[in-house]
Amino acid sequence: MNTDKQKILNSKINIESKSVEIRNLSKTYMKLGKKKTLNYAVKNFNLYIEPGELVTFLGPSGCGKTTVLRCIAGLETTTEGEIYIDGKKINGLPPYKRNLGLVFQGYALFPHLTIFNNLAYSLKIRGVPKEEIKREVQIIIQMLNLGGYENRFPRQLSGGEQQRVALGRTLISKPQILLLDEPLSNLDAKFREELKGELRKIIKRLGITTIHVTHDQAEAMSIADKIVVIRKGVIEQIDEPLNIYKYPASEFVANFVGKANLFPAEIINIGDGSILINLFGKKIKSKLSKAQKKFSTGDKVYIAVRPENLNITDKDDEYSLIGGRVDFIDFQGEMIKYKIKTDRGTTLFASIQNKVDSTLIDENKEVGIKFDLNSLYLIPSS
Amino acid sequence: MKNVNEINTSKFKRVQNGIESLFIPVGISLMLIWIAIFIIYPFINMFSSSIFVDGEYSLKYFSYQRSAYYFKIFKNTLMLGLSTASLSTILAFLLAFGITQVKIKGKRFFHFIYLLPTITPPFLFSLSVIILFGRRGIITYHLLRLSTNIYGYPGLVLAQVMTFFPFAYLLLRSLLVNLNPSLDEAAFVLGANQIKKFKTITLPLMTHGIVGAFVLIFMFSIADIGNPIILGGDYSVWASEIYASVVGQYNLSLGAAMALTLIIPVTALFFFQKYLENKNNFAMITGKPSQSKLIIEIPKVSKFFSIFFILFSIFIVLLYLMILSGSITKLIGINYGLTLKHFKTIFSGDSRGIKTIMDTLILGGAATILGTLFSIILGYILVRKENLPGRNILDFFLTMPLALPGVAIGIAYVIGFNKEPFAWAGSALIIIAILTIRLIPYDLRVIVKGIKQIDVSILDASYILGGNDYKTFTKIVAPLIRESIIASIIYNFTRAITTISAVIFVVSVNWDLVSAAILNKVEEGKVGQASAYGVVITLVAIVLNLALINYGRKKEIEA
Repeated sequence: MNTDKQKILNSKINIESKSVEIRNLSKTYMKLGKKKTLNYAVKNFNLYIEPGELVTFLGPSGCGKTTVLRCIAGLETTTEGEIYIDGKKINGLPPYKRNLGLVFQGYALFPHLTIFNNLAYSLKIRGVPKEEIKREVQIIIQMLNLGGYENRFPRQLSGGEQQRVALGRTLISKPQILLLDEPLSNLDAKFREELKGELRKIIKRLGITTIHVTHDQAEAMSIADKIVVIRKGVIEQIDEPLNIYKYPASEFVANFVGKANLFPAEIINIGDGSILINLFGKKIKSKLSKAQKKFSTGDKVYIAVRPENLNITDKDDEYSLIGGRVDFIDFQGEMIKYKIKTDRGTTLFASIQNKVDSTLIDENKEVGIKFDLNSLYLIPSS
Repeated sequence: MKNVNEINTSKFKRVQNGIESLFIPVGISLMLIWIAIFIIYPFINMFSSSIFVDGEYSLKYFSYQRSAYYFKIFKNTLMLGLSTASLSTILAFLLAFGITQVKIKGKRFFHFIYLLPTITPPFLFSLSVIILFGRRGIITYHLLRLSTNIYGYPGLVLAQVMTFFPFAYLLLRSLLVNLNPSLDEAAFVLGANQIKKFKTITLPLMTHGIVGAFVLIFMFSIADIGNPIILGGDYSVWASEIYASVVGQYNLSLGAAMALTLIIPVTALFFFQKYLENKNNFAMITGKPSQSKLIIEIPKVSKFFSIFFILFSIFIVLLYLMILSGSITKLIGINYGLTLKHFKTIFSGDSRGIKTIMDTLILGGAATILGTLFSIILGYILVRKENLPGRNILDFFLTMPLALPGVAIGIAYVIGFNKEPFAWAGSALIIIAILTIRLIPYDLRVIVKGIKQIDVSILDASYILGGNDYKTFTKIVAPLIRESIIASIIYNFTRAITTISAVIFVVSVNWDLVSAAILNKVEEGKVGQASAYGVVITLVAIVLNLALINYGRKKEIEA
């Protein structure tokens, strides 16, 4: 699509960015069984989203991320807490009065309506005149490259095309907020890669405040401005993707977002900008990194090291911190991933970029492990 | 070390393997013989009887049907069918909608009540209608002091609607339950309130289902024989006229010709209804369903449906209570003194009551077992042997009886098995056969569905590991579909012991069925004994189905 045409389209789709605030949201379910128990799907959830921000709720299945989304949409009622959009409380409003956009995981396209009528649905419901509907639908069709599909039915479209229709159906009513419930999970891997970038581009171009839910950490990292990591209904960490990856706040985040090697250690002393740690009986002095939590002497911690920061060396290397044996080699073309069984019985993961002069380390070879001790990142031990 | 092929070479094992390898060929051969004798032969005879009269080729009995008399019967049948279908569909839709979409208490209870008519004789409510609304009816005469004539169109419509609405209800309820809830949620989020969502999404997606339900009930109505015989009075319909021509005039040729005329619309409607059933699938749940269904919680709506459900359930229970009342009062409508004489009469040593009940259970049981066996073998063949020549012919002929009105099958059997070489009229074999051919299509559907749910690689693994068809079926398939088979057996046994249309012509002095006995007692004016039979067979059916529900619940808990 050429830039002039894009500018015209952008100027016609005028969506005002709104903020979202969630205060002390909790949602409970009664679990039926021999004994009725109250279960929290979400507990004391607090979040502020800036206008125009694209925030991703990331967490494993059943962590409560979709529950929060559905509470915002009005498809679930909250047990406690309030939700505000642009400073106005929306608790108690039925879904059809909230003017929000929701793209369902399965798209939920109306099977008995053509693509045109699916797109036009929200406008028809509101009694918008026919000519205006036609105009608005055409804008969306051009924006999402759906030309030629107007008279087809959803079952005649591919997964990617259906997803675009679902998005278009939502955007046409100029919703205050866009909610995306695992929008890419129904697509095969190739399409998912292609559409990740497209989706973010469209959303940022429109400037619409978006909440995106996914369990796929790679999807979250590539799409989001900010990630909210959720576990068992509780927020574990809120930050930009790079910071979540570099400075995970907990053991859970470290392992859920990417892989992490966690070395148990104990804090011996904290000085000005430096820290003395006991690691495998050795005393190690290191600089405190800027994202460090507040620790005290005697605290039990983990040193978190990403696989790409772990170095495999000779077993006899004097700087080797721990010995082990190469258990499995996962050759992935541009990366070589090693699984190492240490002398202490633990498992470590190392990733090495495959360069021209790279050679594979043999399976079952005895090796040493080291990493940069000058700047350690510590996580509280659970 | 010996390989597997060397290990199993004992003579006994070779013989055993040889016998087992005949599992499919023998099964197919038996079914072909069955089809030839019990499906093709009687219908050929019926057809020839309708066009060969007194040894001559003649179409006179088809020409008769063009007369004003038969045109009136045709109009009556059409009128009854359209009325019953319309009212049943509207009623069923309200019930299905309320049960699935509205917040009310006691849904399980109401659902059970609405399904009761499916497990009781399909003409039982005619008795109840007479007791409640007849000339000496409890409501019309004793309460309202009216002397009404319930026989004919109004009584028939009422009895048929109450008998057949559950089938439309089940169909529509299933559709509503399986509608993708994300579609509702999408509509809400896009700005539609409950009413707009209902008009623009729910109703359009239900269109095929509603038409399908209408067609189904219409089919049941025009093929129904029990209710028109009891309640028809002067209002003759096609099925009751067939009965009159055979039992009253003993004109089998006329009966055959009329049955053939009835087959055409019923069969056409059957296939049309199947076509609509397939069309319903596109809005069903696929993939990961949405987390919850949105139920209507508007207090006024909930109240309306609650009251409606309660009143309607009371009416259904009342209809059953009338059967019970008829069985324990001296002469219902005239003398309300309590008595057990009707039960004593049917259970006394001199009467045929016990024999009739035992005959029903034995014949119904035999038909159920035979039907299940055939369905299992054919089901296995249909799913696993897609390239077997002739499998589609087997499927067609064994499923076809479902598309035929029961009365047509009954006449075909009377004509076909009244002469050599198969002069089996009145025997247990014929009754079992006629019950079986009506049960197989239902059984087959359940079993095919059950087998299809088994991961095909499990069966492939059995073959690769050396299992032949017989071993694969008995050791792998049958245990995995055991629950489907048990559910199917109980449901079909219930149907076998309550059906009337097909068996009404084939019962005899030697072998009788409760359903036919009830009809006879009503014709003899012995409403008390008819009601007593009705109570017995209803109780048997309810106990069986409660056992099935209980078995199903136990399996859920164990899982």
